[in-house]
Amino acid sequence: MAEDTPIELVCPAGGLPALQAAVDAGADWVYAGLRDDTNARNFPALNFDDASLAAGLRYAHQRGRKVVLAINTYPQAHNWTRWTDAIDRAQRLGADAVIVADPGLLRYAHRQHPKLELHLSVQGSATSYEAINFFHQQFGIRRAVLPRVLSLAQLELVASRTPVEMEVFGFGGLCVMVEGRCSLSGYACGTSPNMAGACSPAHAVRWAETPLGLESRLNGVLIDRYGKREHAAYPTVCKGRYESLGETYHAFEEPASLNTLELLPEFARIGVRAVKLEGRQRSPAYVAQVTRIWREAIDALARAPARFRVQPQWRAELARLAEGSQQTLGAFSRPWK
Amino acid sequence: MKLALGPLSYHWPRQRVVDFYAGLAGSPLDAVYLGEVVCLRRTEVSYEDWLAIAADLRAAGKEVVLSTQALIESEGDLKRLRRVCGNGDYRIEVNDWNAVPLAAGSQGWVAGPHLNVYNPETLQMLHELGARRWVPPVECARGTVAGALAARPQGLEAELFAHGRLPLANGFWNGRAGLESLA
Repeated sequence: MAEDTPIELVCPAGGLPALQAAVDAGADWVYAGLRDDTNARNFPALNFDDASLAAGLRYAHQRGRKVVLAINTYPQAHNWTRWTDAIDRAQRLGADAVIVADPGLLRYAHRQHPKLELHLSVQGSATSYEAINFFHQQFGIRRAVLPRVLSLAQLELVASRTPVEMEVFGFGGLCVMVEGRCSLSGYACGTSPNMAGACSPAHAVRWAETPLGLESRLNGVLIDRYGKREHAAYPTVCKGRYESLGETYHAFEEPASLNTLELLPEFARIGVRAVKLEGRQRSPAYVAQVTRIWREAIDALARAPARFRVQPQWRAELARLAEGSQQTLGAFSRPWK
Repeated sequence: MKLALGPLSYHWPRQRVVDFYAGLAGSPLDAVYLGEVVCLRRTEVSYEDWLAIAADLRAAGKEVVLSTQALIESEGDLKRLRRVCGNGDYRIEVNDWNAVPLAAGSQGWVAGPHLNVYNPETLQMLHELGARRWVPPVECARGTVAGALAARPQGLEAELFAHGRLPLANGFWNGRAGLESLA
């Protein structure tokens, strides 16, 4: 990618108000899902039916922006047609692209709708150029969303070996495990996030005040217990505190929110095509605020690359939006390859 | 029905690994899966060690399958992957989509449990690329496996993870890579 082509900003929408907020705040793309298990944020009261999606597409297209539909869970034999119907609806309603993880579904989309733009979902877990180029050759994918486990050096290597556009996560919630390769929630709840579209499904979550503190449980499994001044987080298995060898701590990883704003110039230099913000489950107000800051940052970088600095007010506002949780550069902070 | 032993997830000292597999020569196992599947930074057992173990087990009458790493990240991972996939002798168990194009065309490769294969369409595609055995992801319910196998491509074997600790997640963090075995 030439350095004078600005990085595209891809923003989340769990509903029509969030989509409109993202467009108004400067998103180049908005990603959205249908109201069922064909997408990886299958939570109550989220997502789009045909009417709201059509309205969202109209709103975005009138303003020169694009909408990509995430159909990024894994169908099985008994429900296969729900996923192919979702692909057909995306095409019929005029979505600008679809984000797909399942290889069989990618093949369906490629054969049935050769002109439909295909993005490989992060849930497809393509961690290097051999896999990305394979999906490109087989199905003509235009873009791949890369897992949050890669370092900058690894991203640069991938970029140098593939014609496929690279999209990376820039801000928001961070999976501790590799996306699409985790059965922890499924093991606790009995339903697989890959197939059912929900990690820590809301119906399995319970909160209880106890003499020992506020407890969060997932399908009965104790995930965490909070002291009076501690910030309680939505319970996911990977971010819980467990007793191990006599100590109680975050046995997998300290929970943290991803914030890579300071890496924007590096992303541009190595040829990252788009930055994605996590948070389809977040409010329209949140989406608007995060989108606006990233829009300003990307525009500032495009105007004067050599003078790009993360503004203190961007930093402060993003820290506040991360709800007091620690922020991290994730794997991008790793010096080693 | 055949009996297979999946690849070793544990990080054991080299001698323990060598002794463990030497002890399998007289076992009733039909097939043994070998190789580093978690992280190349675990250097106790070298690729050459694995090949020596493979030769001994084959001489003892076992079918030997070389398993690839469950997650591929660095150029070093890819180099090892190319060695395993190009070994020209043993069947390969593919555990990551980076390995699919490298294994395609090799003799009867195995689609391993770390590939996300949940439906007949994806399974059919892998069969067209030369896969002749499928180990479903450990999170698959009976109905998912049965549904995927209902229109089983010709000559495709199914192998189920039946006993032992379940590899439930793949992560890279703080320089540690792991297959979390929690069950």
